[in-house]
Amino acid sequence: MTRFLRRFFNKVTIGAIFFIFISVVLVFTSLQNNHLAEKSSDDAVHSISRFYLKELGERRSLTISNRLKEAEQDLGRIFGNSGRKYFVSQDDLRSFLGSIRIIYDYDKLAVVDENELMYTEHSTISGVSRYSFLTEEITKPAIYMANLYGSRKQLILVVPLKGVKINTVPVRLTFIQIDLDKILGEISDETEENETFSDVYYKNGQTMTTADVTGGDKPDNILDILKHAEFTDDRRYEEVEIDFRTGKTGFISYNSGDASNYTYYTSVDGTNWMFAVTIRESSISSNIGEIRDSMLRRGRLQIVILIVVMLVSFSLFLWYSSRLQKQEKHHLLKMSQTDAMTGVYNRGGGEKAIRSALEVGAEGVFFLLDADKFKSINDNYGHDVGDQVIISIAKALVHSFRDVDIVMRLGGDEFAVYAPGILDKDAATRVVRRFFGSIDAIDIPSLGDRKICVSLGAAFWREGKSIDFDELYKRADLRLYDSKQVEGNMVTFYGED
Amino acid sequence: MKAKKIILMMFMCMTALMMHACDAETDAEKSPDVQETAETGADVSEEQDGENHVVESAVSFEHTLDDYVPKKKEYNFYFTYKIVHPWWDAVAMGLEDAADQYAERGVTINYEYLAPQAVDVEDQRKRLLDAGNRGFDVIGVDVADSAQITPVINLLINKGQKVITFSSSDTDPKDGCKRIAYVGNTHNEQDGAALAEALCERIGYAGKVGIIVGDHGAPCHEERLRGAKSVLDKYPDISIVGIDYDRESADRAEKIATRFIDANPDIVGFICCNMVNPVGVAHAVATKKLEDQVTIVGMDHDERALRLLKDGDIYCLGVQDCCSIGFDTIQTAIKVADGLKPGEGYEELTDEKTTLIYQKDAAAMLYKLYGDQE
Repeated sequence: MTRFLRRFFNKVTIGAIFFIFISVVLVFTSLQNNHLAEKSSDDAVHSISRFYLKELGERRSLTISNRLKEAEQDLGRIFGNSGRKYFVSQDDLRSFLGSIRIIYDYDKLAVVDENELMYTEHSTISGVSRYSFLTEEITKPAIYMANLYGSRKQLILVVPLKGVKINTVPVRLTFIQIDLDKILGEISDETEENETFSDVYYKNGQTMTTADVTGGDKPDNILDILKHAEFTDDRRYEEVEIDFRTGKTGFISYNSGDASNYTYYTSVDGTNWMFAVTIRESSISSNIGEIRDSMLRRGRLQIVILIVVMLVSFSLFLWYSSRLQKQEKHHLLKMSQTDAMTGVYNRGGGEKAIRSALEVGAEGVFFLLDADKFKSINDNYGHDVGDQVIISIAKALVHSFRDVDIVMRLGGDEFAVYAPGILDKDAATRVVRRFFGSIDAIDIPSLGDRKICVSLGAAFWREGKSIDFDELYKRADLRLYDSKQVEGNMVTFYGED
Repeated sequence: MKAKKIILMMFMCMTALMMHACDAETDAEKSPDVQETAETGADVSEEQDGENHVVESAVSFEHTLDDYVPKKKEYNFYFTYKIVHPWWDAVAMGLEDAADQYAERGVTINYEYLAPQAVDVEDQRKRLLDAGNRGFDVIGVDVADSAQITPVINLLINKGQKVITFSSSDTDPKDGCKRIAYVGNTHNEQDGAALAEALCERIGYAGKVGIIVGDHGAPCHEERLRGAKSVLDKYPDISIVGIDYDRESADRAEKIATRFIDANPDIVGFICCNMVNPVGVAHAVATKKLEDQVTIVGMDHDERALRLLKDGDIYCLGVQDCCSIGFDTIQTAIKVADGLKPGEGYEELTDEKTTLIYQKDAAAMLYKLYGDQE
């Protein structure tokens, strides 16, 4: 186990684990950032919708309220001290009403005298039964909803009048029809890019308008809708119902059908009405969503890039690590097969290489050689000089033989060479002469005038001959012995006579 | 090498996990919901599919002017009727609708539409004479009393004033009225008969019945009474225990009904000939707790009556198409003002329908006329 752990937790694996750890941290951090981005954008949607709707709701509610006040003031001015207070006849009055109606763009403008006759620009009508509020004593401006035959509803702003007469008959009040649909339509046309819809309601939630501002089926009663909606904030339907009844202001988010909505409601100043403006979450989300989606896309892209970079980096790391390892392995292998002193194959490596060559049928010649009277060199000049001799011989071999030739030191001053492709004595002899030339060129100052001589035994290996390395070695060794009997550089070939 | 393989496996596993985490959909990433339409309340009339036709055809609010091109750009009309009353407010809706449509065509319609607070034949007479001096193109009158108003109409006609009758009451032909045309209910007698038939069937053609009328001399009321009596007289087991006039007062109708009930505790039915009768009678019956015993039939579309119909306290109501009366009155008046004679683009009698409605129709009618969604 300890060995396993030791092997496992080497520098490479520790580095890899650290790398993985850092990458994981970075990726999870990115994921967390994405999650935060989503949450932030959701919060932003909520906050923006609340802020936006509040602004919109307050503004529109105020606009409605102001329109009513303006209308009230206009009517007071029209029939006030600075306006007309006397009409000689009903024709005079009706003509005046026609002019005013056009100037002020009223849908309906009428006055009622104390005989309960109602005058418009084109008609005189006994109108009390139609507008039941006319039976009331009206002392200040007020708004009434007239429910007319045919389920038609008219919103009427009534302003009492004083001192206005038609000939001698006092005029009791004037009224105009208020077109909430028109007002809402004008308000809605003003600004918004987002998809909002707003409406005016009685306190029981019943809509006061007829125009469909939702682009689809318009609800008759907002409280009915909310009663069956799923609130997504901490509000409850009962609270909203109370708010409507008491004219309070509020903000709610809820799911109705398949849509998520935000609604802001408030009372309309000077009336018993409630104004509510709603926006669908998809509308805000579609704006914020683009930003958020862009952020999320970038985040995701970052994660993907990070993962890709991780993968690529780690792959590169593994590849490089593997390559280093291979090189290390190769180096170690080479070291294990190389003679440290001379740099040529050692016995094991050289033998292995030669055996491999024989296995693949690489015909050639095997040389076995050593330095003549090497012991005397060591004895007379020292082992250092002896080493120099060995090194020089090795260099001479490397220099004389080809790169494909296997040069090895068997030990001491004994060397072997396998030269594949050299299959005849003449070719082999030429190589040996070259080698001898290199030997003759060796100059070791410590040796003085003494020359180095070598003796070689050679044996050919030709495919088909059922001899192995050991036999080859034996044959070359026999001929080495023969070469040793001759003074100076000598090579003897086995079986080539 | 083995260690490297293990590390690589770990790395691949973690990568796979991370990519799975990145790939998982979140709520925020889900595609936004397609926008939806808000819920609406159910249309009441759709719930009564079989009865829609009855209600839809009984009263019409969709009118379009015919192709006749008025000769002038401006007309002045005078209309007077029996009494300031929601029934005539409904007629006025039709008048206004026609006037608005003519305005869109560039023809201005000026009109006076006036009545007293209580039925007053003398008042009507004075109004007509006064209007006759003011140069109106056409005068229209809902006759309060045929015998008394016919001479006034004829006087005006003789002076060159164009006069038509409209809405609930025409003059009686036997009075020799020269009015040019009539737009309104030409079948009041048949309406009375239809109500009586409905009542008789309901009570099994036997029992005591009271009849409450509106105004003495009002042609429409008298005709309905005539029609009701003609039906009741057919059934020997039905007896009429009383006929009285409420003069367009629900309180008075209630008092009359109470008196009939006190005198005839086994009374089984009431025929009401105007708009407010049924309301007063139903109240009297309820007070006496005789709802299960007494059947009430009546006229018109009073909101209270419709609710009583819905609750089963009234058996049926004859609803007139008031809006169409008003609309057609203006159309006819224009042609009359232009000098056209009956038969030249309009009829002397333009009949407007009456439809009997029952409990099953009440909710739809309430919704149609008053926007009621209960």
